[in-house]
Amino acid sequence: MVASISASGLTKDFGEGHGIFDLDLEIEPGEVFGLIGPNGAGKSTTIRLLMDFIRPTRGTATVAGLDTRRDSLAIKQLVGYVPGELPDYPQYTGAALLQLLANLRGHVDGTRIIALANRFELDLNRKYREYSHGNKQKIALVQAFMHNPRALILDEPTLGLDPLMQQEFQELVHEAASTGATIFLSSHVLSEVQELCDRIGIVAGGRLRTEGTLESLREVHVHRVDVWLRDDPPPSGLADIPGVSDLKLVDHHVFCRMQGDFGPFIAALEPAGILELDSEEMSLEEVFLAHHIKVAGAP
Amino acid sequence: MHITSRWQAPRSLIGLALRGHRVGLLSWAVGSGAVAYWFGTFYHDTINSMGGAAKFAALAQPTADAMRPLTGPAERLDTYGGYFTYHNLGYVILFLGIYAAIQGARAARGDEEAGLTEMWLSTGRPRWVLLRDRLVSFVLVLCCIVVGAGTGIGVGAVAAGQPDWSGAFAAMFEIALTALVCYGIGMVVAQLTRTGRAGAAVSGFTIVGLYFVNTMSSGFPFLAQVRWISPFALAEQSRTLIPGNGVQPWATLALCAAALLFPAAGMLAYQRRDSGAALLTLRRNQHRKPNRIRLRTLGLRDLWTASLREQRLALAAWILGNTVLEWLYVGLGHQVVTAWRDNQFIRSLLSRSSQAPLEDQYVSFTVTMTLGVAVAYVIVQSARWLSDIEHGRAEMALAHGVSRSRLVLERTAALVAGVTAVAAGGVAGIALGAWSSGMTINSTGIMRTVGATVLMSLAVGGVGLLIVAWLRSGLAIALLTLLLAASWVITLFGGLAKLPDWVLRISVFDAFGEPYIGPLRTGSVIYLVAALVIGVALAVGVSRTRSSIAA
Repeated sequence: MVASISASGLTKDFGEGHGIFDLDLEIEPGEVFGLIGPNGAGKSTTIRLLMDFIRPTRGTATVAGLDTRRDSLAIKQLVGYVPGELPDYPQYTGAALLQLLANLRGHVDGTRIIALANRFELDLNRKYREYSHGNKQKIALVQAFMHNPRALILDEPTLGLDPLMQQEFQELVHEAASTGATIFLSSHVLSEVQELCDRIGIVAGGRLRTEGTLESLREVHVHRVDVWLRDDPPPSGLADIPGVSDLKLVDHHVFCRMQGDFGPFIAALEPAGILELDSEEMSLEEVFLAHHIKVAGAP
Repeated sequence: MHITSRWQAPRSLIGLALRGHRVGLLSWAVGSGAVAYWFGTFYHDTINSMGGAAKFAALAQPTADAMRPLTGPAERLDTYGGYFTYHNLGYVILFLGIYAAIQGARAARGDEEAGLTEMWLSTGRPRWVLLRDRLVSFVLVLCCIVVGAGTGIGVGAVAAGQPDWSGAFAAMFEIALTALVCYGIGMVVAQLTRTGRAGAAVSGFTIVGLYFVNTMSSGFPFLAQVRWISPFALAEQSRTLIPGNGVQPWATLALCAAALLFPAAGMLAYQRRDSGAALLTLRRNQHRKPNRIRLRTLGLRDLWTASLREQRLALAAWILGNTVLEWLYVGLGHQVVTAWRDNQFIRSLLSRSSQAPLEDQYVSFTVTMTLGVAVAYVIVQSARWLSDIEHGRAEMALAHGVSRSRLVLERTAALVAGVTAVAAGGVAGIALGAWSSGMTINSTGIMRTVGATVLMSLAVGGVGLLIVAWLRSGLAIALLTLLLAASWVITLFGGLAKLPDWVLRISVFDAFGEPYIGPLRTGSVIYLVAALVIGVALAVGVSRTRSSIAA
């Protein structure tokens, strides 16, 4: 099967290490892919490359088998897009703006626009400039979904939405995916991506650090461990145990992060007498922050 | 951290003020200074060639009297100061007043829609302090304009052989004081409008209205009663460049009081209104109307129609402004042409440059107003294209399947429609003026003028499209304005400076010629069409090949 969205060696080099570098990606039809990473990691750059708003320094990308540069216009007909920064339309009402965008695109059903607006509880009669940020985001979502696109490219799509509307958005994404649409979204809110996506890519410092299914990323189980001991802990050797990181010793108290087999760690502490051991699995977000940002050298 | 509203860091304030107004400041200080200097040399040469100042004044006085509703009273035209006041300062005070009022409206409302004002206020600065700081900044800008333009006028007076430094600086001081009143009026008016843009537009029109209340009061008794509401009437009392005139203390004090009162009223209104809203707002109907979508709405089908729809009020103002301007000028035509006809010297002077009837020569002069308005409209449109790029609207259009080429072509289509409408407004004004003054208008000449105006504006637009696509920053508008200013200076002064013919031909204004009197030169038509076609083609090319349409 031809990947609905793919990138091969896709690079946009803005200089001084900014941009996205050597991105290889394949997203299948009907798949929801989330790209997460801190601010400035290269998420929006990737999306703008896929939309042909900026041109790659090297490498290629395709959407529905079409080259993003050569077939830019054909791709736009298939894609719904939410920008990372909402444009300003001081002279329009919500309805007028959606009418204009629908006409530019062509073949959009007005009843679909109204259905989406009602679903997001959006009053289209108001001036765009009077909308709150959340309502402007709703307009961005309506225009992205109004033509039942085959692919959705969404940059921080839930920014400013309240929890109820975020839920509505998630349902909309699931509905689109169930009809075979491919969804590529970026976010720096991991919990949102965890809720929505079949696969996740983690980008930092302009490079895709890792990508996989939610389950495969979850295999990187990391626990926060907190142990109370009867005696002083052993003076050395704990930090060298495989899987132990961020070790801190305070009196009879041991803090650390633990990944993998707990056996050697418990065996090393046994002589000091374990009074209590708390272990909590870290969220994907914490894992991401703890490991991948460090890898990228970000603060 | 403790934040106070006390006066702080004046040096940084000066820096910010000069930086924020740098384009306007340079244009006014350097531009008006340079023009004033040139005018001095021109005056000196002219009175020498015409047999003395008294003879020159006698020739100029009838025309000046006929133009009184536009320029105000003309006195002592036998002196550089008198002639410069009549010929230039009336326009300087009007346009600086409009500029000041727009700046005042922007100071009061400009940042609100972008949310910047609330950020400033969140730092703990009171609202009135925000406006006070901006007022002080503008006063600093006006001081620089007084120094720059005052020096230019002073040097011009020396070049004319009639040095009057105190008169030059006092004249600019009075003009700056009037501009400060206009700034305050802008601050007040902007508190009453729904948006900052509307505030700037209404402020500008208010100033134009106040100007004409004063200049037209001599012909309309009811205006004579109310002319003192106009700051221009007060400024007119102290026309210090005219020999024998000095600063009128009462009028100057009244201007000073107005310069304090209007900003104070603006600050008071700002204290009482909601941020981002007008001082007085109607309560919205609480019943929410159901959502409706009408995809066939005219004006929302393409980018070019949408562009015209977005700016419908502004476009109406451009058209109306041009109509009124032409109406006023052509309406005075009968008196001016009569004055010319009665004057043997002017008749012979004009017959040297053209064999056309005097009426046609006068109308030919007035249609250049329409050209000026249309070119200014093109510059504003270029700024809109840039704004669309900077605010992400252009990218949103691309996201919905509009190609980069189509984006440029739709801009061109909107420009054709807008410029044609502005030119048509000029024609309406000419027709109204001709009707009110009893002048005969050559319909073929008018059609040629409309065609030439549209063609020339589109040629400028073609260059603008290219520069905007190429530079994608505010520099583009500055460069386009600079090119046009240079072109205008070449046409105006190139002959006097004995510049080579090929240099004169480069100017787009030279290509315009006198379409009301005769057809455009073939070479000019080719030049203007080439500027349009090549400009649009290169803009398409640049836009398509650029890595990004945004900077």
